[in-house]
Amino acid sequence: MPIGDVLPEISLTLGAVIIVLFAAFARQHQHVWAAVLALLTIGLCIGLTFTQWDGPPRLTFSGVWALDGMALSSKLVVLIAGALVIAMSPEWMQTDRRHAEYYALMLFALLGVIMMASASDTMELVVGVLLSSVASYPLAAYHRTWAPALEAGMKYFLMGALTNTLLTIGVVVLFGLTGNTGYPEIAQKLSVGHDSLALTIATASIILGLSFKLAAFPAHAWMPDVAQGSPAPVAAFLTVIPKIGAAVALARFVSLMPPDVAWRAIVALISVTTMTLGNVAALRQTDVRRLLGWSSVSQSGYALMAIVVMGTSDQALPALVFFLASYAIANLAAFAVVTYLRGRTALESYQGLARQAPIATTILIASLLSLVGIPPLIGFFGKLMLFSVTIEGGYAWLAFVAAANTVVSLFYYLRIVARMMFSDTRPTVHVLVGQWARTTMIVSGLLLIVGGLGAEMLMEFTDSIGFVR
Amino acid sequence: MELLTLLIVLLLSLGAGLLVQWLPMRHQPIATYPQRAPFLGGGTPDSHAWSRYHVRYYPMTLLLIAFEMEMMFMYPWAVVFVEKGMMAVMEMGMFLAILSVGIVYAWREGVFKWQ
Repeated sequence: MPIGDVLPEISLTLGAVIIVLFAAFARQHQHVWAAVLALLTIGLCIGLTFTQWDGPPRLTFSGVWALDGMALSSKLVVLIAGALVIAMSPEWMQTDRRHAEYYALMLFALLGVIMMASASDTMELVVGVLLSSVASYPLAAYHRTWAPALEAGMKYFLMGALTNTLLTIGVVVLFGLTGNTGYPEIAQKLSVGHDSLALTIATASIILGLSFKLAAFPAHAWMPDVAQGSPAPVAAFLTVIPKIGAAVALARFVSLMPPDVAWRAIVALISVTTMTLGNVAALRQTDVRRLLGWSSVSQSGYALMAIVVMGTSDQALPALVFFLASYAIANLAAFAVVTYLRGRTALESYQGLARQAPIATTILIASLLSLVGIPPLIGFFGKLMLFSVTIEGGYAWLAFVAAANTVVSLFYYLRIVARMMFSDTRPTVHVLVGQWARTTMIVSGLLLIVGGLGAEMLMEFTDSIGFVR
Repeated sequence: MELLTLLIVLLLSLGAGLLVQWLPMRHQPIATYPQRAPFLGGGTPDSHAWSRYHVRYYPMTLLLIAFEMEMMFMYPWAVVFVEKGMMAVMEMGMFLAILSVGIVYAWREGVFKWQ
């Protein structure tokens, strides 16, 4: 067994197990050390991932685990985003009796997402989706005595149960069709010949199953509730990280389909519906966390554009990863500000915040503008790449719809900005005491600008990534 | 084509089942409420059938799985143990270690105290 190929994942598992044991024996006030342990684990995992970077793209473990540019780069994005989420949590979770277990659950969820991104086998994909879902349900309902958190967790769980079942059904039907679970074998078998009805059922089920993790159109309904009801750091986690793994998994899966399955049209349709629905629903929100949840739904729609043109435009996959990374930083920065402001959520209470909390306001404005795609912030480069590959791939109409949606989205993002900047009210601002949330907020704010300035360099880094064949 | 046949078989069997239930009942009046009420050894039940109660044995059941699964895998392991040698010991050691983490966690959560 080539154990060395999964060393990053093993280190993540061991770190999580150590945190579980630590949580069982440490006293409540020592639990903050679990955050340090989790950050060390993620650091180690990032280091080990970098050592794999130079190797040739290949499949290991009898072909179920992909080690290619897409898997490794999305793994890095997931890990860095995970580290930011963990670093913003300690003060929020401090009074919770199960403070330390929170980090173990986070690491397990990260592991599941990494498995989704690296899976080159349908069973592996199912295990990854289940692991990340099962670890995320308790995270969403972490404050279980609070009714909205419970509602969010319940919605997330019920939708997850349904869609994960569909995913498994799709995988089983696909196994029945091809007699195999490995991606290369499935692609090879499908290119020879197939039953189109059964293949349609299997593809539809698997896409539906992944759309839950992606928070894309048919299974998006949990997103606004989770963004509003679950703890703010968890909302940051769930609006960003599962999406990265699911988008890569979806891209990897649809690239197997034979040309007569109209997957491009299906994904384009989901993309248009998702971005339009997310934007329209966000327009009249008066709750900032819920608004961010809907905006994150619409951002999934943008990400799907890159999957539509995969294969017809050679830069589609780098654009996908780059867009996901830029979206991750911007959304994490926005939620870091919300966390720092103790989960302040009603739009009215943001009135006049610019005078009372200038740094937090600046970072929130920068992150919202980055979500729209205003230069020189990193979001601009993500969207630019996305639009250019979509037009290059012959889907100019899709890029047009996305551009129209971006203009619409400007309205609700600027609504928050206007409330904060142009108001004479002087609200009392309560912030989290301590340095964790504040530092994370500032770091993610800096990443927005530094990432934008260094976008050229990052693009070179992701320039040649793709799937292993 | 096979899928279509299967679908028709499914529909036919479902239809037959519903038909068998419907045929004898079609002229029967709906039973009165006292006839339909749940009964408890002749008396009326004093709590609702859907009331919440604590499933005391549930954590125990989960824990049993942690123990039981070890046993289940140890039998085939014992058969191939001599052939595989050191590698088998390592693999079973890892497996036991993972499961015992679960048991330690359950112990710290107080599952072994029967309240």
